[in-house]
Amino acid sequence: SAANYKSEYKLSTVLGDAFPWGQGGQRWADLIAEKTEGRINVKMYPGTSLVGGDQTKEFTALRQGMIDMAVGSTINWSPQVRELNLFALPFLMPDYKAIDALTQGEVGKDLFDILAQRDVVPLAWGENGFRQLSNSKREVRTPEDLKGLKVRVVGSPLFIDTMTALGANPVQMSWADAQPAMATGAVDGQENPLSIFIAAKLNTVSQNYLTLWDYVADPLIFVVNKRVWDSWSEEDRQAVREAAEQAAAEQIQLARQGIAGEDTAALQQISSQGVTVTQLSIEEKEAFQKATQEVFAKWSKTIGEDLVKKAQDSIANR
Amino acid sequence: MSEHDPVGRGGWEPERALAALILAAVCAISLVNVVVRYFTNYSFAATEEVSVALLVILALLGSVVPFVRRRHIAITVLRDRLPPLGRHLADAVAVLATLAMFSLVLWLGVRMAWDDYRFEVTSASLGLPQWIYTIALPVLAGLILLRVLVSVLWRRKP
Amino acid sequence: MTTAAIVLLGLFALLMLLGTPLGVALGLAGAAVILMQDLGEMAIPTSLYTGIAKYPLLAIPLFILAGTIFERAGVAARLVRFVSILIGSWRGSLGVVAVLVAMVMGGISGSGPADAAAVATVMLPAMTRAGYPPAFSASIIAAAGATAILIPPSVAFIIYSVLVPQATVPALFAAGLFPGILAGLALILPIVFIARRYGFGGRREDEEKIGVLRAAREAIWGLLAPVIILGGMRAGLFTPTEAAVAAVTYGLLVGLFIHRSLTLRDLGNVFMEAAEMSAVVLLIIGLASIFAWAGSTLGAFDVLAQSIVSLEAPPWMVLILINLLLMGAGMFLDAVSIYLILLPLLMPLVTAYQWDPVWFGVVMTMNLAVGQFTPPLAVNLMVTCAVAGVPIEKTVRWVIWLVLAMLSALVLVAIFPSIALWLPRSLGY
Ligand code: NA
Ligand code: NA
Repeated sequence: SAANYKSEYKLSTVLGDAFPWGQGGQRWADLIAEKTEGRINVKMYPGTSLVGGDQTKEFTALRQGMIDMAVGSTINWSPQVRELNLFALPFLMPDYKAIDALTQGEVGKDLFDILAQRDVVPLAWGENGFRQLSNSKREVRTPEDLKGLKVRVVGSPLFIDTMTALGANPVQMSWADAQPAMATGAVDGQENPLSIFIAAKLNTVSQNYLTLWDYVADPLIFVVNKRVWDSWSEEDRQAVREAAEQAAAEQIQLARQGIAGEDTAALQQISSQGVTVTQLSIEEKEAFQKATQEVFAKWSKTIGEDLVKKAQDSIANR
Repeated sequence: MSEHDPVGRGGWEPERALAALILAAVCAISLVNVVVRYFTNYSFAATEEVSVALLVILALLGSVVPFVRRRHIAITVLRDRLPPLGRHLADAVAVLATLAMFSLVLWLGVRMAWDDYRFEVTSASLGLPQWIYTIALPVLAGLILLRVLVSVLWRRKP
Repeated sequence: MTTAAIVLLGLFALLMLLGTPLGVALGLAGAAVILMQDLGEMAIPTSLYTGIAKYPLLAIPLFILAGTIFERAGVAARLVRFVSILIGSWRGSLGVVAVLVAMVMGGISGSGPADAAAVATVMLPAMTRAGYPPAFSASIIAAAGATAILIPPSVAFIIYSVLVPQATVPALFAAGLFPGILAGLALILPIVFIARRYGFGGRREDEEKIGVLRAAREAIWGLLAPVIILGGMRAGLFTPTEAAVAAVTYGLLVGLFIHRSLTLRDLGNVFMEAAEMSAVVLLIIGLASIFAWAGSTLGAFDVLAQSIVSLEAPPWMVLILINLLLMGAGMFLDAVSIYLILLPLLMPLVTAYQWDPVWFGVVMTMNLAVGQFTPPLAVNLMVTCAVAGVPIEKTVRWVIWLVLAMLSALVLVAIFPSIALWLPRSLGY
């Protein structure tokens, strides 16, 4: 009954509504209010502020009920759900169709089953995008070009292994320190989705070479805490699920706007600011793939070889 | 405030000595990281995780003696102007509040560490079991509780 | 929801006024509301942990340690001797020396009390010998030490940047330099005036005579330190956090091998003191994040900020109100606690009025610098009075003039934002 409903549900995201990520979260909240006729009232907390900004604590907090709902990243949740490292396997997904083949196919269902065993109810897949490489030193087209570059990475051990295998020096640094470090040359490069490159104006901190190498992608997951889900009426659960599916579909479109398919307006904007944008061909990507084979094999064991095999098959049949 | 020692000064209590060692370790890690990065073009990608975990230990461990010696920052203007009975009551409230705060941290901190253990959560950078970091919270909260209780029960007039 | 907000603020105020350690008052008020409203009790340990486990906060113990080391290494004493020779001796000259040395030390240390302690230990005896009342000396040094949180590096700016990510640490550091110098110079006027009026100080015959060159040579290691720290950051040798460890290393090298004034036993004491001072600050930061979590989840801060915006007062009036609020808070609380308690309330206003967050950080920090030596609760005065052996009450008649002097510097920065923003803009931050 409505008596058990909270007056407000807390929705956590990493980025705010200046980014497709935050827009997707806000859209979900708005659609829920609309579809449940105001019975469920959701407030978005960007910047993972509910866990003091520590993104890797988001999933635990969600499971424990500090957070009611989230649009979370597979990378941030991988310390709690090791299977989510799948999307960070280097050069697994060659294009957007490959991401869709995983998230909208059997692999996506398997991962949702795994999440469902951890007190959360996963509802839909969104997208933060392929992570692209930028640096201040030179154009990167081959693994050889990457040798000796100091690249700031997120802390995950898999990312560090990948960069080390490619001959780069991975530097782990908080984003607060990373920007001055890039400006002054303490680090040479970084890797992030293009939306972040654009919003953080990384060309102003000497990031003048951008390589579109699609080495890993970061899908987003729309989830609700299990106890919160169980407290809702069947009708409202259906409404929240539909709202998530609609918001996620719109969010993926937003995330690809200007950088994928026919529409490359955002890329043109970046190159008009004097950034050399390098698009790798399939053959060029294969050279990078080859250099990271051992990392791929090592982490496949952690993730589960059956799941990795299934993912490769889905991508082959996309 | 005037009746208590200023923050920082004091003897060689074990917690103070240990906190000093932790601080020295934080310095050493950061220094090695800078030196290695600039002179060898190599970087220890994960020192941040360890330093930050040490910072939590430093905060709690270094706070133990200030709790016992009442050197934490507090507003005592009003308390100092109360009659003796009022002053005792205010002090009792302060001690009870401290005990309540760290009992909560102890109890919920155990649950946090247990949860990290049970769900096999790994640390973000090094991939170590996360509970080895989070266990510091309940352990040190327990130490603060113990030291405050002992100092209250065995209080001698200074 | 309103009841919960009242419980949050009321319980905090009650505990604070009864003399409960500030961090405990904040944390317990937050925890009580989280439990009462069933907001998710795991927020209590999680906020405490994530509130402290932040990389930029690493700089706090390191900059505090750097200040302590520079004092024990004899750097401060040599700076005093050099500046004294440069200035000469006349009525009020030692007061001016104290201000200038505190400003140079402020370019090494990131904390007001640490700076005040360093200068007080070195200068108070000499000032007393020269005829300055200890309460006056303690006031001067406490006020001058407050420039340490404006002149980079600054622990206060690091915490501000953690809470306001759009204001980066390098931009804040650059923005604090000129306001910090202005605040220090503003103190000189009343010091000289008071010293002349009451006849403090004057020509001293007792001091040892050494040449200006020798004094300069001995002071050079101290004078170079701010240049190395700030220059190193600018040149990209280290990030703001690493600059702190560079300062510590430099101080250790000077103390152990150049001045040879640090012993192993000193080192133990130095590390223990710095560890304790940092722990006290960090624990407040951690426990205050429980308070902040409860407050922001309840929406308590938004509601308060909204009600101010809805008054539709002109921006300058809101700014004056904010400054009065900060000054009031600064009389009772230390800078770090004020950031943690008030920033969640103030940032929605900064956004609403489209103020530059870097400039606002400088204005706010100048206010808090004043608060560091405004009784009754004045962390710097507590330190200098402890060294001088005088009660805080005795400083009121002197310190009031220094408060007014630094406030006029604050008014200038509030009216002319470019005093703060010119440097970060021309450096490209
Ligand atoms: Na400073
Ligand atoms: Na004050």
